[in-house]
Amino acid sequence: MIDREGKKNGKFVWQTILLLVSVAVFRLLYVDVYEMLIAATHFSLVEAALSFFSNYWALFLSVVLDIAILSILYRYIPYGVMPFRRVALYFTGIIVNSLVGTLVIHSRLLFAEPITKVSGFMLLGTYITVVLFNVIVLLFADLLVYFKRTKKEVLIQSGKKHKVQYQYQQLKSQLNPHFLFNSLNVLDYLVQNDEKQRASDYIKKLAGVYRYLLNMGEYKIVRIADEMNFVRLYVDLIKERFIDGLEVTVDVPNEYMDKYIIPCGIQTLVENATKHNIVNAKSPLCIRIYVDEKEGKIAVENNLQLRVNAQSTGVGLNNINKQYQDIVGKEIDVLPSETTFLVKLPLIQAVKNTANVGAFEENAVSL
Amino acid sequence: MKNTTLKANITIHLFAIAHALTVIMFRHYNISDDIPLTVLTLVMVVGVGRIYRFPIDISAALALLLCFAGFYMGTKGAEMIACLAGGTLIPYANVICTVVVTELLGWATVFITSKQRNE
Repeated sequence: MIDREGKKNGKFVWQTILLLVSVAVFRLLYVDVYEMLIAATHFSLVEAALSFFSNYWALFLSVVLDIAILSILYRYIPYGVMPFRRVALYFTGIIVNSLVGTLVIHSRLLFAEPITKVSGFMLLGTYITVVLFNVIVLLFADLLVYFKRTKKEVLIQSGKKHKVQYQYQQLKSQLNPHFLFNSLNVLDYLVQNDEKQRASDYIKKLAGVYRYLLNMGEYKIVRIADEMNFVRLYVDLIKERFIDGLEVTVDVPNEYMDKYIIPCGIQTLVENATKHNIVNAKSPLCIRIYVDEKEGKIAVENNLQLRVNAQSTGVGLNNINKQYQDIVGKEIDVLPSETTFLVKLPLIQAVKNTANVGAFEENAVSL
Repeated sequence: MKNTTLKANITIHLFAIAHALTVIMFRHYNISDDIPLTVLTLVMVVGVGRIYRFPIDISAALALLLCFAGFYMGTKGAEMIACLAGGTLIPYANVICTVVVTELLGWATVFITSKQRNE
């Protein structure tokens, strides 16, 4: 293991040294030629550059070739994996591309007359000017592409991370022992009182909730209709426990049922409301789920009657927010007031990738 | 994060000093300082790139770009200092110019390479 690590380090050192040497040689040769030209002729880099820029064909061809080299690098040579191939392609590309540019500028000089010492110096002067141009354009563009690619990769990775965090939270809520114990207690109560039909309905709903949690956790977005069916099941279950202490009003028009939302988004908000507020018949917790048509958002609002020992870490809301940022680049609105707590989730309109869209089997559970 | 910035700081300042010493020494013996200065600049750029875990091929590309920038900035900078001093090169103008350019190139490298890390 250590031997392999040592070999890897040794290889890296040699690679670095060789790369540095090749870069240094290129740079020193360039400077030597430049200084030789200044000493031998009245070479001016500015004048040579102006002559290059005023030749649109040469400029156009150089830029096109630079883009071609860049696309080859981007497609076939990943960053940091084959450093020699990349640097070799840089140099080859710059040398050949500059040669083409020089030939375009001095095509007459090359083919119409015999090459003299003066014209040779002129060619060399133009050549090193075009080399400088290509070095700047190609390497600078490659750096920009590298950053863009890295940023894209970082965004993908962070999206995956957020998704995993969210799935973890969903998994935790699936396995939430409190929810399961409470559900089993309610079920026990129903069985003890010989309420067979209610017990049977309760079991079906509980199964439906778990089915949805298991099926939808892997999708990025779900239809509002599916999420609302799930929320209804969930509310029915917790209503068995809270009885008259909980009032949930759903006011989502049918035209919004085909819009999309992240899975379990509304359910998490309902769960949060019951977790942090007092829920009893004397002071019922009223939750309203409605669509804010102006803003194109689905809202969950509840009256505020916080429990004394209620401590919120904000993990649930944070996770929903991160999911929205990753999927649509939007943030959720959290709007607490003295009497109410309101959260608005953006409605997702278009679906680009159907693989990320979950479809809930509506007939699986009778509602 | 602080540790990497400190490392980059030390690296850049050490290389600036090394550049200055090289210029003084090579000028003293009347030898061209082109090669050692180029090598020092390359090593500095790759070294700072390593601190921020920049890929070696991109570091090499950046080093080449910055070497050209350094060459033009160094020569033009020294000429500018000479112009400001009425046509004659003031003592240690090359040294001052080399140190300033090395620091500029070093911090440009930090700016570019740390961008990726921040992201």
